[in-house]
This record gives sequence, structure tokens and C-alpha cells, in this order.
Amino acid sequence: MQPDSVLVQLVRGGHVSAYEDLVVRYRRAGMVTALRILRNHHAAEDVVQESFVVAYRRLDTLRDGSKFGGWFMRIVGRQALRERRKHPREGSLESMEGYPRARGNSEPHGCEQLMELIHRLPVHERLIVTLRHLDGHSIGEIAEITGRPTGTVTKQLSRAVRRLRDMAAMQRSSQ
Amino acid sequence: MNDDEPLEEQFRMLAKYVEPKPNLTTLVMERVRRNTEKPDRAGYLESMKRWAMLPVPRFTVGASLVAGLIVAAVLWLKPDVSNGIAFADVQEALRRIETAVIVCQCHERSFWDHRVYYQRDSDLTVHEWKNGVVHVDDGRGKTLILNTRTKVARYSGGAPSELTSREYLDRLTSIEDDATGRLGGRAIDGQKLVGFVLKPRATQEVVGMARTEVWVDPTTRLPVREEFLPNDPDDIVTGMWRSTCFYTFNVPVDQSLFRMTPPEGYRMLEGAGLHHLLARPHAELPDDPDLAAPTVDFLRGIGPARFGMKFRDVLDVLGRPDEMNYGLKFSPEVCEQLNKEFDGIYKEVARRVKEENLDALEEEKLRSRMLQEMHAKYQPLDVSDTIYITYSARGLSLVCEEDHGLLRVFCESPESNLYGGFRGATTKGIAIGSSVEEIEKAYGPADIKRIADDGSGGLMYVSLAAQFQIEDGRLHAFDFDKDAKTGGYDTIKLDEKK
Repeated sequence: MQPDSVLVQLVRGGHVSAYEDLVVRYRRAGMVTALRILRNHHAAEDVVQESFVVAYRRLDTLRDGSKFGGWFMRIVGRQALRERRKHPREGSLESMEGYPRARGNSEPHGCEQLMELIHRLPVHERLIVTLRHLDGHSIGEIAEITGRPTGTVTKQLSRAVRRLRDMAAMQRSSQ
Repeated sequence: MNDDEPLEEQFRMLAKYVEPKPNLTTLVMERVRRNTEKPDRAGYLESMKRWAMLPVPRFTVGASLVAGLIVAAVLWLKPDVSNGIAFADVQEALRRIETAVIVCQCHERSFWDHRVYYQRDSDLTVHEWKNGVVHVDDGRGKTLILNTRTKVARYSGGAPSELTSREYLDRLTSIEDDATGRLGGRAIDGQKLVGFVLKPRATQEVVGMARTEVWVDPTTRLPVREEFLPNDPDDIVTGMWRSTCFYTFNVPVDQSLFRMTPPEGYRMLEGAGLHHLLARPHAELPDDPDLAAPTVDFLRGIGPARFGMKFRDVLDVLGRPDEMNYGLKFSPEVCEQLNKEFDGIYKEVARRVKEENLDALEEEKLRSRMLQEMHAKYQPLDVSDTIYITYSARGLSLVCEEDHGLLRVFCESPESNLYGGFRGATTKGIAIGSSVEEIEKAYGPADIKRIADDGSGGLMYVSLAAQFQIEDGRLHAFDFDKDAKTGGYDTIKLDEKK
């Protein structure tokens, strides 16, 4: 498992195939950000695809390769907002709810709320949560990817999950 | 989220839901490779050969070759001014300038757009703001401030001034020290220009997060525009300082601007409390009273902004600020030295305010100049996660951290904030100008109370994580924290201080 900083360095050095690892690594995290804004699976996929191309073109402007994840998610957020401004009516809840049925996936039961809560986490915690719980990476792998010590990742992950639980509880009590 | 389902199960469902189409990676990589990979060389040459044998391309290629030769001959006869321009050429041209007019556009802070006039044979520098305020600095610490709309004027003195016209123009010729690279030729707004990269002017503000590009007219060898750009276009803090300055050199400048006496028909202002008539422009006060004069709720937040709220959420509820800055990281040794000098500067400013009877504008100018000089001596290691947000028109400053969100709020007085001061009040009705008695009636006896005979001092409430600054027995400014711990109040030993 190559750290982000190494992959970014390789891509900058002309090894384009190293970028594929970054795409695989962050496509779900990108989808969470884009889906939360657009509420439309097809549009979110397009935005994530476009964002990866934009990130590749702008890779030279990224000072610290280990921060690729957070930087990329900010690009996705901006691209998604731009897309929503262009097509404001497409971002309806119906299109979000209809999509998984059309694809044969299970009902997005509570997915919208969970995405909303994940979005309220700080960027670094959001990244770790998606890498761990959506992509299934181990703590050790996340430590390697992000270049942070394992202890830090463990602490940040448990803090993020606790925060998610607290926020969910607060949300329930306010309903 | 559903109460009955464990979080892990909900994550599993979300993972399934956000799974992108399987070919997304392939599509991305195809687009990326299309941008970078060269076609197979042999196949490419073969197809070129086949294409070149067709009659139309043969004619086209022949005609293009002839046209190319003609163009090359013309260019060879005419000296090329766009290539090979060296920074030394630019500096040589700058040594011959007599006047400069600089129009500065601050894209994200358009209220700050202004124009500066320089003249080599004068010590005076003229700043002209969009709201009709003009500052004429004499280079020796005296400034004539005019409001060309209301026809009022006043002198401001005692504080060190900016560079004189002569010094500024001389300094322009030594910018070589800051040049770090070349950008080549580019057509900008229909004009062919040659670019150079400079280290940013305000290095202390952005520490490697921004750069300056200077674009030179290859014919005159003089700069025509300068761009201050963030390295990361998505960074809204650094992006706020993006600016473009347009230079015009050796043009006649209005001589009536270069004098230290107000034009005929101007009324001279005297006394305190009038400086707002001559203040430089700032962002407008919002129409919404909750934002223009927000309510302070200690330990909770201010107006719609709550403690712990993330930086971007704070901007969402409070609106666009006038200024945003990152905090700076210094080595521990430098931090210690800075703390010492910081205290010294505040004492020195207070001494000069008293001795030289400086007004608020002069005090502000002196303080910011001394702080700027202090910071210029020490190179920061990096920017920190702390972001300072300023709403000048509302007399409000906030401190946010990436991890902890909104942490601290400062409510300034009209005297220390040149644009009107804080207009809101606390939930118990305490506002700027309230008396010490009113504060203690509302919040009880202060944990620490120090009021001198002249009525200046402060009140501190550990349980509110708040401190009130008192001048002439009245509330002058106050600040408060998320809680006693984040504000450092929990370390105060009350028994010793009381």
C-alpha cells in the first residue's frame, strides 16, 4: 500500500498509472461528497470523474502530497456545487431515492442522513471514516495512506465515530 | 440514521449505495492518459507518410512551408522583443521612471480597490480610495487625509509612515532579489506580455501559499500588471487576498494631489470621534439586524454563530468577512522572543499615545507598523490551523481552528475599530459603553477586577470565559471563549489574583 505522498510524487514524475491507485482510493469518498450535494447518482459520478481529471491537471499546485485526499474532496465539493448551480432542479430527493432501485441496489435507508453527518466531520476525520468504513481499509493501511501514525489514526477514527453517534443521537432527540 | 441499526450496518449500506459505476476508474484514466501519453511513434510516422502522399495535403504542406519561410524571414529581419527579455532589462527600464500610477483591484475585497500615485521628485505618496478618501503621506510621519465627497480634511501625525515616492520607485528597481522564475510570453487582454514569478510581498501572511506574477511589456521593458495569486485556487483564506495591480509609468500625474495642504473649500476636522468621516472604505454593514448587531451569548456563541461551529459554517451564517488570515507557526524560541517583543510594542504604543496625544487612527497605524516590523524579523515555519476572521464594519473578530471550530470572539470598541465598533449586546443587555456597575449588576462580582483611578482597567469572569476592557469607567471592548479551558481561564488562580 503506497502512501498518498509517494503516489503523488510518482504521478508528478510521469508514472501516470500511479494515479489509478489514487482514483480507486478516493472514488467512494468523492461520491459521498458529490452525492450529498447533488442527490443524483449519475450526476455525482460525472462530477467525481471530472474532479479526478481536474485534480490530475492541478496536481502541481498541491504542496504536500500526503494531503491529496482532503484537497481532492474540496475539488469534488466545488465541482458539485458548480454542477448544482447549472442544473438546480435535478438535485431532487426523488432522483436519489429512485436510483438504487433502478440499479437493483438496496434501499438507501438512512444513507442521506449518514452522508450529511459525515459531511459535518472535519475533513481529516471524514477521510478516515470513508477509508475505513466505506472502503474497508485497515487502520494500518490508512496510516500508510495518510502518512500519519497508527495511534493518531485510531484516535481520530474513534473520535469521528463517537461524534457521528453523538450527532445522530442529537438529531433523533430534536425530531 | 436509524436508531435500531448499528452504525456498521449503516456504513455497509452507504458503501453499497455510493459505489460508483465499475468503469469510472477506467474512464478517468483514459482521459488522464489522453492528456499525457504520446501516440506510438512508428504508427504515427506511418500515418503521417500516408497522409502526406494525398494531393490536397501535399499542396497544403507546400504552401505552408513557403508561407512559413516568408514569416521567418520577416521575423528574422525585425528584432524580436518578446523573447530573451531578462529581469535586468526590466530593472534598467525601471531606473528611468519618473512617475507611477498603480491601480489595485482586490477581487474578493472589491471595497478595498484603490489607486496609488508616485512621483520621483516628491517625497509625497498619494492613495486614493473608492469612497473618495485620499491619503497624502509626506514620508516623515505626517499624513493629510481628505474626504473629497464631504470636503473635510485633517492631519494625522506622529506615527511612522509608508515609503516615500522616491523610496518606492527606487525599491521597484531592486525587485530582482525576489524573482524566482520566468513564465514566458503570454497574451493577456490582447497584449503580448512576458511574465516573471516573484516571492509574495506579504510573505508573513501566506508563507508559501501564494506567489506574485509580474507581467512586463516586452517593448517598453516595464511591468504593466502584477498578480498576487494563491497556490491553491480552492483555498478561500489565501484566495481572499488575490489582487491585480495595473502599472502605468511616466504619465503626467495631477500635481494638485501632491501637496500637504487641503484644497480650498475644505473644512478642517479637530478632536476625537470624527475619524470615521475619513476612514478608508470597508464592507457594508449587513441589513439583517441579527448580523449587524448580533447578540452575545457567553459560552454559546454570537448571533447565529455557535462555538464549535466549523469555519465554513461560521462563514455561512455570518456572511462574507472583510479579512481572513491564517495563524503562523514559529519555533518555540521565536515564540518566546515574539511574546516579549509583543508586550514591549503594546507598552511603547501606550506610552506614545499618552505622550504625543495620538488619536485612534494614529495609534492603529503605529501599532500595525511596529507589529509588521517585528514579524518581518522572524521567518515563520508554516501557517497553522488557526484562522482569524474579521468583520470590520461590525466591530467583530473571530478565531476558528480546523479541529475545534469557532473558539473565541472579540467585540471591539468604536475607538479601536475605525469603522464603527461592535453594535450588539449580551443576552443581559451589556453593550459597548455600559458602566462597570451595569456589568456587575448583570453578571455579579467579577472574579478579577482591576480598575485604576483614571477609570481604565478590566473585569474577568472565569465562569463566562470572558473579559471586559474598561476605559473611563465604561465598557470599551470585550472578548470571550468557547469555555474556560480553551480560553486558558482554568489556569487562573483566583485566590492569588483577588
